Amino acid sequence: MSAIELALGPSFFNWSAEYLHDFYARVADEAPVSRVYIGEVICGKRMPFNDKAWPQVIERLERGGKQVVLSTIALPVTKRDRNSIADLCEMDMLVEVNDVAALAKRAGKPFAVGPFFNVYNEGAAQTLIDRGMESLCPPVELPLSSLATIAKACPQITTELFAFGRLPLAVSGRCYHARAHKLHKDSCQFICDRDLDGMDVDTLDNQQFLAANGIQTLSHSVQALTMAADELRANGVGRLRLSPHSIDMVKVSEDYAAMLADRINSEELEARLRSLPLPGALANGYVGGKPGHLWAD
Amino acid sequence: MSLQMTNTPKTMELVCPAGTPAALKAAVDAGAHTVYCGFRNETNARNFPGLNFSVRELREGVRYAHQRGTNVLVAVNTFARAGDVGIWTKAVDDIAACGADAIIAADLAVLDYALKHHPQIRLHLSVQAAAATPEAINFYAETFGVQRVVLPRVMSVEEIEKLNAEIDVETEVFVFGGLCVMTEGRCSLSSYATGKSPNLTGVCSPPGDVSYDEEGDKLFARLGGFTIDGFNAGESAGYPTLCKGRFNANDETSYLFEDPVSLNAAALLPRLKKAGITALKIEGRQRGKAYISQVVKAFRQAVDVLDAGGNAEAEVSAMLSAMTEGGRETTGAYKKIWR
Amino acid sequence: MSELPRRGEFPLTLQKALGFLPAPPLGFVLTKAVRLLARRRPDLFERLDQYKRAHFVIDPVDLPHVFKLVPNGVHASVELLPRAKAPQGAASIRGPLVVLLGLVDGTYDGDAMFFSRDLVIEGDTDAVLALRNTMEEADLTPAELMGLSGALQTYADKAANASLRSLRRLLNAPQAG
Repeated sequence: MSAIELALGPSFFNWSAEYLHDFYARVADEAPVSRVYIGEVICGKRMPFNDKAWPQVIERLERGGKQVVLSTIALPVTKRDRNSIADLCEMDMLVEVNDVAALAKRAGKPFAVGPFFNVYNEGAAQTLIDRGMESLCPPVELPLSSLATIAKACPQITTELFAFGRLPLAVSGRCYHARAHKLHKDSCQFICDRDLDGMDVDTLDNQQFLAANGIQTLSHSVQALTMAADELRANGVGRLRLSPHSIDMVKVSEDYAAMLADRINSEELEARLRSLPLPGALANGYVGGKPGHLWAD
Repeated sequence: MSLQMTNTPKTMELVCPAGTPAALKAAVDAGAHTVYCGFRNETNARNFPGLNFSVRELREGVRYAHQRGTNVLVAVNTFARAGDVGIWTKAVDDIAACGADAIIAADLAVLDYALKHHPQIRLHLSVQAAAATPEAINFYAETFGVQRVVLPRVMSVEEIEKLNAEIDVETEVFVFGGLCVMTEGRCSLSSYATGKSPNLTGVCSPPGDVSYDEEGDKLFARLGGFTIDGFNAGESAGYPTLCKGRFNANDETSYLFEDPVSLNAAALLPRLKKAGITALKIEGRQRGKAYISQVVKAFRQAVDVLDAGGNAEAEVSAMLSAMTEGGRETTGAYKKIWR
Repeated sequence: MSELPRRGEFPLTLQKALGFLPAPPLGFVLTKAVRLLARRRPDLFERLDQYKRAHFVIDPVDLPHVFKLVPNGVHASVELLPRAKAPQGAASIRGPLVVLLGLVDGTYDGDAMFFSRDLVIEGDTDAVLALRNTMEEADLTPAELMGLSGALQTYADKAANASLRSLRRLLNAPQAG
């Protein structure tokens, strides 16, 4: 019976280099996660600002005993985006592929596949395994039953489940932060740095619904998978992914680690998560093949 | 074997939607160079009740089209459900048996199967694969022998022109109809609200999850219980497509993602031709045959005038005035200002 | 002068007069017509798939009766019911008779009529959409629906189309799209 690992996904938000330094320093020292995905996955325009943070962050995380994985951008468009992919794929570290462009550059060397890449079945997974995929975190809308089917058919890889954080729902050519502030994408003033967890998007009758983060659309709600370790294992889950937010992510990972070690049960994990200043209500509908915003006990 | 083009390579091929056999006939008769359609199940991204083709209808449709020199492309462009990949591979087998001219696919499993089992059939990469870089497109070409890519609706003409210089495969772009604001194949907004999405079930903002609720003198259009838009009495109501709704953000109410507009790139045809586009795609497999016939005729005329060395300006504006009635339109991302 | 009817509706006196039409024979004739269609065009009912067994209420607001349609192939049925007895929870399509007839023969686009609110859809939207897409494929003429054929069909269609056209003008119905 193998232990289920914990990973910290790449941050989606426009956090400053200083903020990233502090955030990952704590993760390196205190968070009980074995793997940390880092890098800019949403907007190439942010790269000149956060690029300078990464060498130190990598060094710090590795010193803390974490496996560092370099995540590639989800929707490469510009020459800069494409160059960033080429550069990362040449590095002697594990790379998370989030687009076929990165797959093209990385094929033949080991890589992880992230939730922006469309893998919905065992056939697609096998095609990627043939090219070097070692772990897979499928799109968030994929039900757990489908993930279990893939895991069963592909025992040679680790399957990872998006367990915590606002759900990455869509990417676009258009920047919604710029649009909401009546700016053009090309002169956006990097306005997305104002919202550490994304900009709330509510319905006309003020129902909390979505969150915008530059070209990305997230759920307003926070995915919170609280299923017990035995059940996760039975469904072939080998790793849980926690997606970074501005709340205390060390605390979140400690709570998940406690649940995976059977020190606390699902109800206790849920209660502990609810006690945090989360950016939205809890949700877990996708796991059961239901609308993603729902919460099912 | 390649697509048997009846026109010279310089003509932009008009690829037209057929949601039913009647619409296929309408598109062929109206002058479509090529029609595209799908099976009546979850293997295609327009999986709406009462729409699409049985295997027998496809076989008859291919015969009707081929007799008139029109090509037929068949979309198997959703992502196969884990454990049920057989439904998707059977669709590929059926297309081959019907003698259609190409398969439009996005899922690696479907592309891989088509290449291994039906290498003689042409493969087109669906817009649902959202391949927009030379690296991605060349990967699909080299790995699966893809011969044409349908480009995401988020690229500008300038970007398309540059892209065409770096790839060897043909490019197809949407010029008319529904406009996805989000990158196609990378959007789960619909399943977040309803449990059903283009990638999972071949539908977006499905009608079964829509409600129109009258509250006072306002009409609210809701999807999966979320209010997508509201209309005053007498105001014409819209369909609650999730990304075309009115929302509150940054203390303001607006169509945050996109106004309720549809795409019309007719005015950009000369630019698209110069950018090296092979084919022009019209969206709308859910539309009626009268609409299809009208749109196809207009675009065919515009393409023919362009071929004859004209600038198609007059045809384009006639077309615009005939079809903008009632709805609003945009040239979308093709003009960079859209972003 | 009595109050004016809404756009596309029959004048109130005529609405009352239509109320005297014998309901059961008309239901019987329509049932027979739909079953006949199921024998000639089984593909249409295959297209309806699971919605074959759905209960549709077609509600011409300017008539005293509604039609209850279960398009279950050769077992299809059409009943005329007083509006008060219309079944609840079915897929319902409500609008002036001339608009509803225009949907059958393709004069009107269902989407356009819905968004302009000349047509009201309630209940099982998926079922209504399946019916609409099937009608689109069916390409029915009024005579075909009644099971007429040959020269009689051509004559009946011409007559029906002409009278529907003048009816639409007369009733100030929406412009055909």
